[in-house]
Amino acid sequence: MGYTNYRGLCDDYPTSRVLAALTLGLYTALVIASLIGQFYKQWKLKTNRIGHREVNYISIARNPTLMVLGTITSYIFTLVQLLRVVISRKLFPCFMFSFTYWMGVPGLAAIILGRCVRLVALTWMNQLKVKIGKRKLLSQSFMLENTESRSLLMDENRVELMSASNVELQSLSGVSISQSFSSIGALMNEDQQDLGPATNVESSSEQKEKKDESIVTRSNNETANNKRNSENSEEIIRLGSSRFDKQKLRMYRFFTSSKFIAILFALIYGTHLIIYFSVGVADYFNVQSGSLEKLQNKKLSFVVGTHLLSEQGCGNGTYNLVVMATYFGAYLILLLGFVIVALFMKNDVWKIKWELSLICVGWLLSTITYAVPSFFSDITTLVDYFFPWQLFLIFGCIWDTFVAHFLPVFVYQRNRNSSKPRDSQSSGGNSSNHIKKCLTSKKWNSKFLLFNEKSYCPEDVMMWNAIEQFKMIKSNKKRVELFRTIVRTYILIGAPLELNIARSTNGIPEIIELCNSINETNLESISISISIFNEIQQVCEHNMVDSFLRFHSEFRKELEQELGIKFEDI
Amino acid sequence: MGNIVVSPHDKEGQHHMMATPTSNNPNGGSAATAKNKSEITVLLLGAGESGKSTLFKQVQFFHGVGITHDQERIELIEIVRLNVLENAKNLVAATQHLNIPIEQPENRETAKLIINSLNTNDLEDPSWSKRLYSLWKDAGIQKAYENREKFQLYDSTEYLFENLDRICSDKYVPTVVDVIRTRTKTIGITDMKFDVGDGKQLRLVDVGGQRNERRKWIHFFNTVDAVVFLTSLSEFDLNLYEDNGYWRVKESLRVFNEVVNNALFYKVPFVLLFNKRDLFEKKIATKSFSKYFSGFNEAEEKNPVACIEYMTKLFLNEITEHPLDTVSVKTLSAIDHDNSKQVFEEVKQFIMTQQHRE
Repeated sequence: MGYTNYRGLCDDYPTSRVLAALTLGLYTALVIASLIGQFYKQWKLKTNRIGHREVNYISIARNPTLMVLGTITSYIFTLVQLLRVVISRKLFPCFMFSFTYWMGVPGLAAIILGRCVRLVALTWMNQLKVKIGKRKLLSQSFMLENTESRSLLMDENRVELMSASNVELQSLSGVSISQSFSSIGALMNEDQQDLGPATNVESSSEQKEKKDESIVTRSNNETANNKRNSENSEEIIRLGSSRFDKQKLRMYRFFTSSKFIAILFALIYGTHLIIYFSVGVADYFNVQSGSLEKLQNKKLSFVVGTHLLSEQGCGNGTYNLVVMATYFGAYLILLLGFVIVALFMKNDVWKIKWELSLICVGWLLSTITYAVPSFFSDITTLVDYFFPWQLFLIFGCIWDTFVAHFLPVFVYQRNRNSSKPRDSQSSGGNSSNHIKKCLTSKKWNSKFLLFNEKSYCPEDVMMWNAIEQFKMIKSNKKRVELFRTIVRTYILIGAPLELNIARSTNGIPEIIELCNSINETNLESISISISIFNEIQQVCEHNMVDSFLRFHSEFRKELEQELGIKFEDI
Repeated sequence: MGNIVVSPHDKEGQHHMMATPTSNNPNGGSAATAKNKSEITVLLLGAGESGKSTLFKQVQFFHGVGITHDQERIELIEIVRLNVLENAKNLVAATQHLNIPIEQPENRETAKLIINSLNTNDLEDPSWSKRLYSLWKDAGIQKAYENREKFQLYDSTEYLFENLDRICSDKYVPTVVDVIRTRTKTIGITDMKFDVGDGKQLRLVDVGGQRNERRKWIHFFNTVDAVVFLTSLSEFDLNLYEDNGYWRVKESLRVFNEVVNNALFYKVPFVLLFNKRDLFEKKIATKSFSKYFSGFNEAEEKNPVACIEYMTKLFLNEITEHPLDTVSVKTLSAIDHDNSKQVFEEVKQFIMTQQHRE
């Protein structure tokens, strides 16, 4: 393609320039739009102007740094390639042009590599998070009960001796305290019967009946709850040790972070720059000490032959093409491995797998159309002046930017918005909105949870979080399992973290019925709607209003500064 | 999170209610060892919707806390409107459930909107005042309202619907009465402190009353100096919110029995407050009281005093352990400011004298 010898270098035909200029203009517009769009949407997400339940297609599933880096790399490659045609190959600084041959393939491959690693790490991380979250749910409820039973034991010195084991058992297994203190009362009655007559003789027989009743129900509860208890602890053991998981989680977090992207890019760029400059230095000394004949030998004269120092522009030399082809081959093998692993990932919540496959297909097509005719230099040499052959590579770049940047910013993110108009519409300053805002912020969510724990009402926030988690799960089996755990922890009467909620509405009868119908054999076949807990989640939000107002008066300033939560002034 | 002490003289500054109950501290001392301490902890107990929080809000109000300030009440707009919506929703749902059609077509439209899409922000629009009021006055809804013992409905319903023209306006600021009247289900436990003279402080603890909330009460049982147990007189025809097939009176009696006979309260002054006297008197004028209590003389059922006397006996019969001379029984209408102030003053005096005696 083109002549390597600068003496034979001709200018491109106008058709070539027009095509190059058009493509460059189009691509520039696409890049600018994507970047501006991305920053705007990110800002919107950050200030929470998009509804809180919005799926975040930009800054969680995708890494904004990677998106920007990828687009910029493609764009620089394109810019150098096309500007050279537009300006004229004779004038364009040759070192820049040949540089893209050395760096283009590694740079573009790094982006795809980054995407693959991210996709794999993200999927594994989510699977792990679901696992950990489930365990947390269980252990939290256990912890709470433990503290409950501990304080019970400490508080009631008198009762302790008689009913310590009872209280411990019952509160551990989640029997309501009112029940357990009724049994304490019953035991007390028994004990004090001979100390003094009951105040009201008339009712004492009735009392006795009641007492017997409560003892019976207590023992029933005990056995039932012991059974449930052991089931729970089995589940905990089955879920594995948490320290190992935490390390794994940290590793996945690293692989999905911007830090990893930065390190990956630095590594790849660094390696190739070192190669580039070492070859350059070696060639330079060759030129300095060598003869003119050597200079004529293109393969050895990197500096002059590829015109690092040329003042008159250059064509794309065979030598550069060989370098590019070598890199391409090496990265193709590496990427193939990663892409195949990535495409085997199960879930595709944020369309990243879909995106990756589209990009790979794009690159495959563009490199084939570019590379195959390159073997027949007669074709390319003749055509190149009329039609810049590298446009095929550029199309690959444009496709890459379009799929990986433009689509997520403008199509995926917007689609969600318009399908849920009510979310974005309710921007008014009311407390249920404030509560949602507070709950969707990671930091404030845990702060609010802690606050509620101190006011003895953590169950609504915990349930709310569990429901959010439930909605994120894609695997049917895991969803059924979490569904069961939620029902047993929060919804059943006497559950360890029983919610304060009306039982006859909010879809609760249906939920309990569904939960009862689940057994080990049909675990796989049952499908549960992702919105099954929506009504309950709303009740949880309503339940929080009371404690949120108190929370708000304590953190008024911080809530206003960090989340923009403010009740209207008069 | 510190506890803010509120005194009647503290008019501006710190009107934030404290949120952290101090008894998180396990060294808080038990009732037996704390006779002469400077803080008197009074628990407000009772089943759901017995009026604990209403009394709590009234006491806050006498002491210039929270809702006396416009700014604090503005934060409650949402709650008032949520009450309106919930009442409307419950009424509409009841018409379906009870097979009473809403009569006017335009009210049926309104009902549809209420069930499907209406949210509290929409109520800023004054046109909703007319629509909701017209729905409220619909013969079908009124008939459902007359049968309100068959479903769950807040006591505030009538009041809120009659005040829609204020509530449905973008300039709406809830009045103190609005705040007292609105129902907010208490979740967890909250408290407030105020000076009662003699260098003593009274710490009033408010709790949730539903079954799941009751298991949390025990956290406070060891630090108690007095218990005020509320029960609603007007619940004789109602079933539980958390278990819609369980008679509320039975639940109240059961909870009362558990609390009053608890060993930890054996030496503690105990006040039984029969709340919602106002509603009760209205209710027995139209509903049969004796229908629910087989032991009650039917001829006396329109006489509130006789009814209350009967209820008192019913509750006192539950007491088997607690010494009767440290139990005081009173009636109350917690939504009535003057009445609550007077009754609470009496309760305070009773508790203080009991404390003194020991």
